Amino acid sequence: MKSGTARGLCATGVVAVLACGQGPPAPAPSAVINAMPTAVCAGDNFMTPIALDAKGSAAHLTLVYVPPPPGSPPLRYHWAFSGSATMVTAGDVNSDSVTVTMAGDRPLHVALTVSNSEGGSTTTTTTIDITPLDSSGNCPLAPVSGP
Amino acid sequence: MTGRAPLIVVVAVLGATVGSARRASAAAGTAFAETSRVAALAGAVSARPGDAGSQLENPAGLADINEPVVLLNANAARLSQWFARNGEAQQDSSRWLGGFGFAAATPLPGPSWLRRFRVGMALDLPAAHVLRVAVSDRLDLPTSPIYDQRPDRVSALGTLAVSLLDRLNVGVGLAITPSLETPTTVGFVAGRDPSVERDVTVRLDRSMDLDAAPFLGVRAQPFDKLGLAVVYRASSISHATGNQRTVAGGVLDDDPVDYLAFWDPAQIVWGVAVGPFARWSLSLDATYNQWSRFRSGFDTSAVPPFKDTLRVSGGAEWKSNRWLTLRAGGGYEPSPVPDQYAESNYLGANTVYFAAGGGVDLRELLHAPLRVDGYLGARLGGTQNATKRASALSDADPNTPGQQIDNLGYPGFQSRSSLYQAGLTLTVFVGKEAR
Repeated sequence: MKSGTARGLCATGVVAVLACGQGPPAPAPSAVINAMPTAVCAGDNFMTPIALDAKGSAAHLTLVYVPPPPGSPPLRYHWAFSGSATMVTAGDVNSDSVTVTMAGDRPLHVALTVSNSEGGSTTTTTTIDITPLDSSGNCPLAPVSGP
Repeated sequence: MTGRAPLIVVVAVLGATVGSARRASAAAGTAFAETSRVAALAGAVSARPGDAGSQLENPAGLADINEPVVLLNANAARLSQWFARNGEAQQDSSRWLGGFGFAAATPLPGPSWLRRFRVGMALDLPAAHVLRVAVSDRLDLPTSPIYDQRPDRVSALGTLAVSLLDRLNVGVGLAITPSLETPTTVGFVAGRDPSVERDVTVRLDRSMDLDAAPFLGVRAQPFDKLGLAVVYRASSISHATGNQRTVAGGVLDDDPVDYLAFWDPAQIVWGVAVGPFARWSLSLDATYNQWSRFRSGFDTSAVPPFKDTLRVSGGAEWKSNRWLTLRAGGGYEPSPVPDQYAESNYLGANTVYFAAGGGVDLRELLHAPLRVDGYLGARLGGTQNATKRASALSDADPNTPGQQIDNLGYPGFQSRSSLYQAGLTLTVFVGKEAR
């Protein structure tokens, strides 16, 4: 799945908005998700730890990641999950990294919202796929070592 | 017959209204933007004598007006919509809709042959957006082809109608739909700024082009108490085209963009109206919708393809006295959305709708050249159920062994949509009606 898409799931082009008195929007941060692994076998039953990392995010939209200057306000993160049932095994949903396990009955849809100190926020998504078992009942995926 | 009547110079204003999920039976074409009389009769007006607010329903009905009229319309609606994968909580995408409409029509003055002609125009304007096209980066995003973007566009139309014979009227019109042209050029000018990020230049050009969709209709009155009608409306589609050109040193990436918004399918309507009998009149419309020509936003055929549908609606009108009219209507609209077992997640289920309303003619009551009509209506959709077939889903990552499933609707989902509407229409009679 795509990750680090600053606009999130949908990009909307609005030709004209009948509204008055709106100033320019707050500068948006850049939200980036790195996930490992990106797929688990169907019926995983919370066995495979999935590491989700947002450390590639930045306070503003950027083509090339640049470490934030020392003393700059920290970004705020929030992870949200839908689809397969999940359990958080390390970190928490408001930190820049979290490890989860999933039931594996359906894909896990992950949404990361990054907010900066200027009031801007960006949501990006990724999906942890599921892989059906082969005809022999085996998982086609190579074993994945934990984080 | 029409006496002398001044031509009205109409300045096009206003626009869309939010209307019913069926073909934008609005004043001008925006979805869910019907005028109150049309909405209260559930759209079954093609065979009835027309007015300025039913030009799209049947342009031939315009030939029934006898004096210049101006019509102002306002609608509000609450869309109640949810989507839920099997075993998960509902995702609510409910929202408010609303808009304004304007229409005008007049007989032409002059010699008798010219007085057989009527001209009309209408404009619909949504309350929030002139045009909104949401471009998704996923083909499997749960989307309602009926409710999602159709209420969010301006529309306009012009109509010409003529009484060919005493009991035969013909009308033609052109509905205007906007499209976007959005060429974008991203470049890189080294040394433009100490920050490499500010060396990136972006040029955005935007233009709104207009596409035209014709419609035409015939209304016959073979007997005093029997009206018949046939109407054809071409499909209404907008495009957001352009190209994304990225230049960085010696690297050039030219990516054409053509996003398609399929607003409404082509339609054929057959209508019959009888009455009045003891102040009652009844009407029935059957509308064939060519949804099988539906294209996705990325200009691909739907898999499986949409189904052509036949919608049936009926309306009843009772003139209690010279100044009060009561109306009611209802209908059944099959969903064009097929079983969603494959990649797409289109939302839609069979829908029943009903409405009631009325009108007060102030010409009879207060000797004021006004008529006020209002209505309340509801569209109630059934619950859609879908079960995905893994074999019909594409592999999300061909580089990984096995089939990767990431579909937003897997393993299956339910959805339901309902729309509750209200509207008010003010008709101003500008000239002296010939009696």
